[in-house]
Amino acid sequence: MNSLPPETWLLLLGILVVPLLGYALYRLDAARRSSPDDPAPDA
Amino acid sequence: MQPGAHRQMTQPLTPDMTGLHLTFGLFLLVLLGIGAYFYRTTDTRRLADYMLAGRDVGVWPIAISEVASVASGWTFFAWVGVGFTTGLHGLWFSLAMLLVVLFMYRYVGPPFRRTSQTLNSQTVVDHLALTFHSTATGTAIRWVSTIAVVVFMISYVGAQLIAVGEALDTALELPYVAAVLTGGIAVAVYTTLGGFSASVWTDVVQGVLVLIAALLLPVAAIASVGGWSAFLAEATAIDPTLLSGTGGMGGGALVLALLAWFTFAMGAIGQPHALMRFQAIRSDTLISKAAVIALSFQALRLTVPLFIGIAGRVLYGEGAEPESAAMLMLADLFPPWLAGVLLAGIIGAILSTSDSMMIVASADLTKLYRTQLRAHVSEGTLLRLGRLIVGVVAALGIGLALWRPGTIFDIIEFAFVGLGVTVGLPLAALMIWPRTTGPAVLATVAIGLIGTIGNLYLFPDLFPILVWPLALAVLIGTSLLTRKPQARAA
Repeated sequence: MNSLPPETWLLLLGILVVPLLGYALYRLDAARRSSPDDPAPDA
Repeated sequence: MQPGAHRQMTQPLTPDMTGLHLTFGLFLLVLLGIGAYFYRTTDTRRLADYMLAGRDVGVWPIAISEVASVASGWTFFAWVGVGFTTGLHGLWFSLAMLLVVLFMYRYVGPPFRRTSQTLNSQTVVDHLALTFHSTATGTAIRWVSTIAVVVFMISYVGAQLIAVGEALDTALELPYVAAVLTGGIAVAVYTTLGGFSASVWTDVVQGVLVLIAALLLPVAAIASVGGWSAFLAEATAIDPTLLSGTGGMGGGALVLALLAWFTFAMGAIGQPHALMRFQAIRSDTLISKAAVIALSFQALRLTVPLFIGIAGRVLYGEGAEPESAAMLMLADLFPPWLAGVLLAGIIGAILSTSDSMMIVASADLTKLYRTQLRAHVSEGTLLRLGRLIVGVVAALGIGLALWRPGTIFDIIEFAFVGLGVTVGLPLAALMIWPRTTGPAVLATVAIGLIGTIGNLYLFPDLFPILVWPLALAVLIGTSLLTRKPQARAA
């Protein structure tokens, strides 16, 4: 065998995606906070 | 190459190993120095400063210190042991835990930070009790949840000290008992001197060293096996299921195994030492950014040790102690000075975890004393009491580490799940479900404590699958049966 099984690759991909999801949500939060139309409650 | 053919690489100590000993000794001095520095320069006379560093900690220290604090004995021992014995099947836990951590940073952290400041709560137990502070339920919550946290924290500290003993025994060939005693005393001394400020900043240094170790160890191990292809071929030759995400299971067995991993990962919602970081962060608007850093480090430290464990199985064969594989590699694959630095980082992370846990147990017991036993007591007396409790918890942790009732994995799993059910579940419910009542919180804490112990001892094969639905049913059922909260302070 010279590669990991497909289900293992999928799991590793999932593990990589969660921090990226966290980053996307952070950018979304930052954009929302800087928007004058929709200020965060504590901004 | 035959599995275990590398075992002879572990040689008896040579004069070169003195460098490793020296690095570790110097590290302990630096650690104590940081504690002493914060003792002299910061206002640790007030309990809130001692515990939460004045609620003024930035994003990076919070995120990295969380990694160092939750990494520790788990990353380089328990999780390596899982990789060694069962392989990449553990990635299911990694994925589940990352999702739980994201949920915590997203939905629990910000409201917890805000309400914690309103209530002036110092720990999660304090928070649960203060939320219902004007009722008898609040008092009962404080008693029961303090007992639960102390029980699980002592177990946790014990597991960390076993890891210290294993590390120093394996890498430095120090006697296990002496290593446990040294680690326990060192962390008690620097925790009592510096409090949370010391632990946040020492955690940052150790978090970076843990990261370096986590990156270098698998690279060196896989290179020494002969590269990535040789690593895959040898691992498959030893056990074809090692690299499989299903662990070679199917049907009901796979479902049960996945449920066990998911319910274990759920414990991440209630680690009081990690939750304290939400309370200590400067503003809840920073939590979203801290989440990205924490998730990245978590992804790394939840994945890499499994590969280290498999490499350990290839290098040392089935006869080696699974949870010591990373330490064997550290001693075998790196020059002594580098091994010494990395070992220092790993031991430091373990001690940090212990220190964060001792601070939490100390804070909860101190607050219980002040609120329930003796109302009029000076801050100075409380601080001294807090430090005394740190010493006692360290002593009990040392006792547990010498007793060794299970593997590091077993003990951490027990404490991790126990804390998740008893304090994490009620806290998360309070943050996201306004219908949660005081009696429901109290019942969940009590069922969490009893249920975790009962699940482990009566149905060990189904641990920790049973305790979660039980606690959740109690939480929801009691909330629906009792009146909507009137005395909620926030």
